[in-house]
Amino acid sequence: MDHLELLGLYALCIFIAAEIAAVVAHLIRNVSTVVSFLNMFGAGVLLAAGLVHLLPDAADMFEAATAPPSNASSSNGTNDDADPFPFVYLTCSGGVYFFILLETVVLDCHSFIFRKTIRQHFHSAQECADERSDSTNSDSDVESVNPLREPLMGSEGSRDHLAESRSSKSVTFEDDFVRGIASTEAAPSSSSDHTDGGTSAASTSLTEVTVHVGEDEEDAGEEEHRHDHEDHSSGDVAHTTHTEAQIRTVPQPTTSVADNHDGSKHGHAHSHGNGHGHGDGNKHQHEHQHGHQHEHARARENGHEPKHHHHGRHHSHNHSHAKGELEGRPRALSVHGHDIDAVGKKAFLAAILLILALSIHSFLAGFAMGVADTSSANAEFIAILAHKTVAALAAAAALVKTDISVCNYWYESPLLSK
Amino acid sequence: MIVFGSVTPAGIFVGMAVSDDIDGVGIAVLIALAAGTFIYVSLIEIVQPELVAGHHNFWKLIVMGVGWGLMSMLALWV
Repeated sequence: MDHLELLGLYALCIFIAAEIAAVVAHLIRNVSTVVSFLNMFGAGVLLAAGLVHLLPDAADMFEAATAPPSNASSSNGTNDDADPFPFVYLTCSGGVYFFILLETVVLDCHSFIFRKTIRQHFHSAQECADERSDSTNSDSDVESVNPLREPLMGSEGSRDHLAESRSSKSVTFEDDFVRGIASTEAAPSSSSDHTDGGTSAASTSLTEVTVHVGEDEEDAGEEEHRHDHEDHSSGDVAHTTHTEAQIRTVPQPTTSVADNHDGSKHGHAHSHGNGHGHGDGNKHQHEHQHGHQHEHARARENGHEPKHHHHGRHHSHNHSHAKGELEGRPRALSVHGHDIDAVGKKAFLAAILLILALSIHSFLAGFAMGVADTSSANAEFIAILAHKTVAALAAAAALVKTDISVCNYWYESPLLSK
Repeated sequence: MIVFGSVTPAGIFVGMAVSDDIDGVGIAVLIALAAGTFIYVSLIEIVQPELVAGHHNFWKLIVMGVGWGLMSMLALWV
């Protein structure tokens, strides 16, 4: 059948165009302006295709399909000359709403992944701090266990040089951060509870949805993070583990962090930059470089956390602490480079999720094209071809922007992963 | 990218396979849903981030208008 052959040809063309666009995006690194203009062109094409081509087709088909039943039902004499319910337009606008909802939910699940990661940091770090503070200092024990005592911590700047207080502060910062997150997910009544058990269980059930997407990357990231954090929280006591971490970590170039994170990643980088109480000049450079995401994380915490002024104090405290550690510990550089590596992995995961979200749209668009007749399939083909090429270009550019290692780059390359 | 590139053809083939089994109302609803997808992708997914983060906003809108105009002119023939 000619129609089927035409559709098959269209499918092949779309596939080839997407792959070509991906290769082009891999070859040309600095395509952001060109991609922007092509994106806008594709947006105009899509807008016209949706409203000028698809919607009248759908309306015509709906009228044609419902005309005989409406005539038959008009014999009942109830509403024969009443306007039919605009079901097509209802569906169209409902589709817009549904996809806004879907995207929000997907991004939230994406955030849950990072919240779970942070929560595991907190747990491992708190175990460390607990077993240490049990043997050393009862005061820091109380602080590290009870997050409600945190307002005391901001006024404790004189104890910066003590290793115990530093460790417990970083732990309590994590604690408060996690608690602020958990209180946004869980019921409002539990916002004053300690964060474990119920609240995390309530949110990890939602996390399960997307955890499978990038499970191996996520697991690797979690494991490294856990190591990293253990080193940090017990760093002053165990110097050997710290040097071991130095050997183990591979410093990545600071430019490897992509700049298209979303809010969850911002929060993650922020908690790391502040939660780890030590750093040097390079750390400051890092925070300046990501000032944007820092702001994001602050805004997020301020929005969700009622005690946000504690964060402000805490933050400045940790900064001064980083200055105090500046000459004492110049070796935190490699661990810090490890942070950047992890952030790059998160950006890679974000790009994968972006591609998945785009894939849902593309599938529906192709589905509509498959069920359409030839004339409207022609218009849809042009629209999909224009948009799909550009979307593949943008998605591949987002993948390139994460700038993962060369091995991963070739692994993700469309030609070699076949 | 292989997955991403093959999703739309997969949708086309699934739609072709299904199109015999559903009636006109179902097709109309699906096409209306796809139209909503198009509007969503163009306006929210593309235009809003581009205009928020962009530099050449005027020329971007011009290019978008060109795309819109070309696609609308296509309705004269198709």
